[in-house]
Amino acid sequence: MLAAYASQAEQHPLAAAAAATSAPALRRTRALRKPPHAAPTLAAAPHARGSRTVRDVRMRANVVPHPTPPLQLQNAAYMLHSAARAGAGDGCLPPALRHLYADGAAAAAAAGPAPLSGGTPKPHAVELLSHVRAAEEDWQRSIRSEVLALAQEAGQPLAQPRRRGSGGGGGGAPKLAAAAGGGDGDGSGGGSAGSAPAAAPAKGFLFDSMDLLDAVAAVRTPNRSAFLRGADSGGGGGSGGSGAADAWGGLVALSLRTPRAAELRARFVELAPAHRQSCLDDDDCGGGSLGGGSGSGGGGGDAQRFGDERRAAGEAALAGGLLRDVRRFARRGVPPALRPGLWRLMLGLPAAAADQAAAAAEAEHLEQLLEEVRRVELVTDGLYELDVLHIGDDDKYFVFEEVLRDVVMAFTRDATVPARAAVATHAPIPHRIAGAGAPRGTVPPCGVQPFRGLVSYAAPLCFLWAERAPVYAAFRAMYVRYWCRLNAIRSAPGGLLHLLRLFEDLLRCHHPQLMLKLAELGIQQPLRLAMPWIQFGFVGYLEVGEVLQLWDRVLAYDSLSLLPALAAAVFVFRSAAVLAAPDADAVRDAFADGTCLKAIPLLQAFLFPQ
Amino acid sequence: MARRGDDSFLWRADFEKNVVVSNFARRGWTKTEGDDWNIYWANVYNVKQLFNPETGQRLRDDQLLNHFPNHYELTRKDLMAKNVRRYLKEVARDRAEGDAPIDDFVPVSYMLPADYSLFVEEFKRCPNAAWIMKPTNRAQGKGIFIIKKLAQIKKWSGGGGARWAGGGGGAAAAAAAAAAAAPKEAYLISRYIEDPLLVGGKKFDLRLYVLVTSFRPLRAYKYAHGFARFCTTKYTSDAAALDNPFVHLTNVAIQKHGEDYNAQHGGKWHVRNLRLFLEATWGHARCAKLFEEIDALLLHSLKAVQGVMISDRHCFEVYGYDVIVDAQLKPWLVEVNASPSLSATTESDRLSLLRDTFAIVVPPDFADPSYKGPASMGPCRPHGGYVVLYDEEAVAQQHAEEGLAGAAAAALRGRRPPSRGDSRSWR
Repeated sequence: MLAAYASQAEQHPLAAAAAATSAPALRRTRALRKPPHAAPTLAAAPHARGSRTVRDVRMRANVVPHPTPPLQLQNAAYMLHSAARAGAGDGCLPPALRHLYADGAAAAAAAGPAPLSGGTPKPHAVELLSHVRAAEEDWQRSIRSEVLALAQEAGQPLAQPRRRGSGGGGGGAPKLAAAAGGGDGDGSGGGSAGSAPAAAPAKGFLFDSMDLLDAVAAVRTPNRSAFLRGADSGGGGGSGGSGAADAWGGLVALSLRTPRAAELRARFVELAPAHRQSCLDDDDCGGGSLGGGSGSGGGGGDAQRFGDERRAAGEAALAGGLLRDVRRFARRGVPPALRPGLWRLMLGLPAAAADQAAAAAEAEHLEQLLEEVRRVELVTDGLYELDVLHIGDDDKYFVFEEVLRDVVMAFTRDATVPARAAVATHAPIPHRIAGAGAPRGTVPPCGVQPFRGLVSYAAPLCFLWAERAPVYAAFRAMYVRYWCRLNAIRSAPGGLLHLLRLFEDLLRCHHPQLMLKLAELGIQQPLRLAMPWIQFGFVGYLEVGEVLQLWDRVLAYDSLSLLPALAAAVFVFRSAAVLAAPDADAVRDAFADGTCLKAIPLLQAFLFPQ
Repeated sequence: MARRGDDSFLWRADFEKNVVVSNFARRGWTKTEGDDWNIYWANVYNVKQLFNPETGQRLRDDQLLNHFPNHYELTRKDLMAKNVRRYLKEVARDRAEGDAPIDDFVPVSYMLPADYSLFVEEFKRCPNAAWIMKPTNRAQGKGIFIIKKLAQIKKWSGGGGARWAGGGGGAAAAAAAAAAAAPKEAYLISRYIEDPLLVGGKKFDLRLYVLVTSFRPLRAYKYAHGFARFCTTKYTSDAAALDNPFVHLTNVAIQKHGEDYNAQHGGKWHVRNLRLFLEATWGHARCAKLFEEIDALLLHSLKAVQGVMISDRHCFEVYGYDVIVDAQLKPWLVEVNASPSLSATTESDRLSLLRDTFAIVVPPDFADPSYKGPASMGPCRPHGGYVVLYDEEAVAQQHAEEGLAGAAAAALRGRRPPSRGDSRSWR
């Protein structure tokens, strides 16, 4: 029941937002299912948000004298709505809150007003399902012990004033990497790094995507005993194929209700092939021709016209400055030249072009954080740098290695991240710097321990701004809003478990034969291949232009659901190679190189098959 | 003549490079060491011998060669600069009313020792400029250095330089004396672009590939997968760093000796990434203008040598263009390489450059009697990574048609002929 409402919200973000602003009306429409005679007058209420007044509300309250039934106090949507009302005043949501209603966040698990961020509801902040919470706590414990073990082996406190000459540069990284020991994040009850057997010591990171995936796989649900399985397939949750899940060996054990293909089509309707898309049907960065469409002439006229049209419309949306208009525009892609401005708007950052003071403040803030990096040394610094070093090997992002080092290191010292984040990535480890009279803090201040790939979230942003400060601002904004959700074990819609389950469900429904073949070849869990794509928004797998186009839609729809959808699309696209593959290695080869994949056409073909 | 099978197609190469050999082998062609080749990937020395009236041979219709006889008109730094300068003068002279002038796109350059006194004049006009010295006949960044003072040239040239400077008489006499006194090789001294565009704080230049199958009429393709080559060290125009090649010289041959050199990507960044970055950071209009100017630069450099180049119908050539973009987003042509290293961004790009080249220059039915070498193959069609840069015949034809249609339309509607086509093709 609970999940079903959640996915409705996911499916219709505007309706959800509308409903959110008229929470009492929505609540009552549901209440009215029992006395159906009153329904006609109220059915239209969620749509009539403009005309709703306090008097209307009172009037309706009189029409429906019944108090809200106690049953609905357990209802997530109701809880969230009350939270929003409590936090944001009388039904009118500040723009910063709206995103929460778009991505199914309107959803389950509403945790009430979060104390840290001035009343922002954070549906992902607290996990409601106890068995997921248990797995999550195990995961946190193992990370914590990894970090503590690292400090012990390095013979350093977690944080200390930086000595002259120590740290900085990549010099510290190999030493720390060697000391990092195993990265077995599956830790049942928190085995320390020392006791973990050599789990790929070469990689040097505390943990990576696969460890997180192991932790996800460790989630067990007591509700799904063999006895209940038969009954479950009938679909209390209404999932497309949850009953078959065990036969198929999905990795996410929870029977989460994920949107079906038709729901996704309704949600992402602008991706229908009938709609022309920026960067695809225009003259911008099309086809990799270095001179663009100009030059050889002929045939480019229409594309150029469309490109001009989109740029003009984008400029207008930017000038208007209304989040709603900008989002609607961006659903069909953002012309590369307009990305900096439109992304900032969608991320709730002040328009830098107009607001010099904001830009200066951002630069100042970054400088302060970097000063903090110079002042205090964390025992994990080398691991963050190791991550940046890896991106230095990437032929797309190596140019920005130094920018990225600053951005990532500054992020680690940003103590405002935990309060802003939709969900806490890692449990903070309290610490006091030895000797100094400094107040107690946590290590690291940002609450994100180093994992392999953190820098991926910042790398594509370097293509939007030449300076570090706006890159940092966008990176942090995207992390606290989206990426943190891909790194914490949560079951709410839009959370990691839900997104991974969406991938599995989509693949299962879309191409069951492919799943069988994969299982035959010993790849029981295609998520093992798709996890890094989903977790890092396809950075490092697709070309930069494709990643940016994908992120355009993440921001425009304010949803991460397109990531698992695209991952499933890639599998379906490569299905011929998989079905013909003689062994598992051939399958891995088929997926090894994504540089020729086009994100948006894949999504279009997958969501809207002919 | 019967249509030949692939295995009777003979290839010869002066290079043992894997890219070249594997490309030939993959086509099922047969290797030869003799003169019976159908396609010859030759080095410039052997090309010279082939076209030498004394040692050379008469080429058959079914023979293809990878260089034009006097390609050095474009690929030697000094001759290229000279040809372009002359061409720009001619264009400026013949320019019709209303045509946009062509901006200079080659940095001011002088030959040393021959043009020493001219250089000194220019040097005195802008005393703070930096100049870059390059030996005209070497490649891969060998022998290159940067100077800011006249004294540095004197020091370099030893006794000879002092004599050029001291010889108040005729410049030619002084130069001759200098050449006699010091057996220095010829150097080209060019204005150094001190404010290059930086990405991530580092300097880069662009390596772009152009395929020419004929100079008269001009048929040229550009290769979409060009790349930017980055220095490993942050750029500074400080005088102290002028000696540091890792800051200033983008040649991979040099950069790979730097301690920060990364063998995985070799400091090469696909031009599409550069374009994406520039779109966002400079805006669409500026970025589009830059790439249009780069196209124009490629084309004008070819037109500059069109008159002097021997457009032998057996020949085609892949040129490696080195272009530097300055901080005002203006492209400058630094040099053109006749035998580019073919080491594009990745191994697969490199293979496809050659594959696409062969696909264009070798017709599907090579033995067709109407085939008279690449020059007979028109009109240009894009293929693989190649897009058409310029097809003189097609442009002329298009102009003729537009002229007719435009005149007709104008007569009918009493309006000006459409000018869109004109503005998009260069003249």
